[in-house]
Amino acid sequence: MRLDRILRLAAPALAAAFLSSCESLQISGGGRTYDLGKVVSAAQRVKEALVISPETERRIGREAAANLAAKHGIFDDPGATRYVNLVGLALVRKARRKDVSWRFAVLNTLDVNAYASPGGFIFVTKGLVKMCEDESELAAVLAHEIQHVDRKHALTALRRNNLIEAGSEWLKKDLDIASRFIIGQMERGFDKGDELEADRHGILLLAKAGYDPTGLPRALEAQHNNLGDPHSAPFTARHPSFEERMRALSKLKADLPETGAVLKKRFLDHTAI
Amino acid sequence: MSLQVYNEAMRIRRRFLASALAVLAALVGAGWARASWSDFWSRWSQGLGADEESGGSRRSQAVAAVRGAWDKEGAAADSSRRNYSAIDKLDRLDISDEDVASFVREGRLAP
Repeated sequence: MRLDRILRLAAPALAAAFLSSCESLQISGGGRTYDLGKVVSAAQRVKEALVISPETERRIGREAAANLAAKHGIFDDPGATRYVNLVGLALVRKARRKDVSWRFAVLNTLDVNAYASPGGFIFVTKGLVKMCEDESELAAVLAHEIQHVDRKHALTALRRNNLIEAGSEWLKKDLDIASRFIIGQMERGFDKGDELEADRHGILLLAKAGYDPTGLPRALEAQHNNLGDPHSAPFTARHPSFEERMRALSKLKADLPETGAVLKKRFLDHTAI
Repeated sequence: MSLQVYNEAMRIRRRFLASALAVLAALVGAGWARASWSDFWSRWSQGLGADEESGGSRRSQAVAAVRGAWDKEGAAADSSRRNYSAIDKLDRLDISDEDVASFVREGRLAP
């Protein structure tokens, strides 16, 4: 084989090896900037979460959700439950995944916390709802949690911890292990990269759905201002520092609209907790 | 357009498409390589390189680690609690697409 032909065939593989190590893959042209890193990240995520079907994901998530419901109880207010579901469903219209049956609920505890279980089960606590001042802040927290499911963070963690093998046949026999891992992870929190990714795409989702994007930094600030409150401790322990999160969000300012819906009255009318 | 010019234009177009496909393949391959490397490094750094013959697959060691951590935290009993009926109740919530559309309109959210 001629050398030039060999090089031509090997070029994509060599390029792939080189590109996989690059931190940033932005190219500019015609007055625009294109982020090729999105293609690389998408391929990476697809491979990492490839082996789990939506049905299996929902089975794992249901186990973890049922555990949360048993530990904390679901807040028995049909009006508040319906409202939180409507806010969540208004957001997921703009989410990436269309193969998820999203369900939202309020846990009956004053701890400030929120949880995302695979398969679309999203929980916020009574304590967190009381901390929010308007619908955009509640939507911001929900948008963050939605991203953990939309981007399959929990499933990727299962894969990285060697709890999934090709074909995932074992999952049908050992659902307990997968769900225990997810339950443990929901208490420990996701890794820092996943949390920052959930912030980044959460604020974009919030804006896309028509809410005021400052709802997320305001919700983070409210939680930060409650630091001395023992009910806030679980939330603080599970996330990157406030300063790091705000720094990361400020880099997105140029990509976000300046205004959006805040809906304080609607929030207060539906959440007399 | 003469045949010669047409053939040349088609040749240039084929080469452009081939190059674009090569670039796309390189980007997808980069993501795949990154995931594979991350996977390999995660397994290697956790020291789970044992194969079947040495008495423990990577997965069985990982499963043991999950069970061990659970027992250590004393959370085994806690983790086995389930309230399926509460979750099933969420599945029976009567919220239609029209309800969501109406909620969006009332709040002047993005259509």
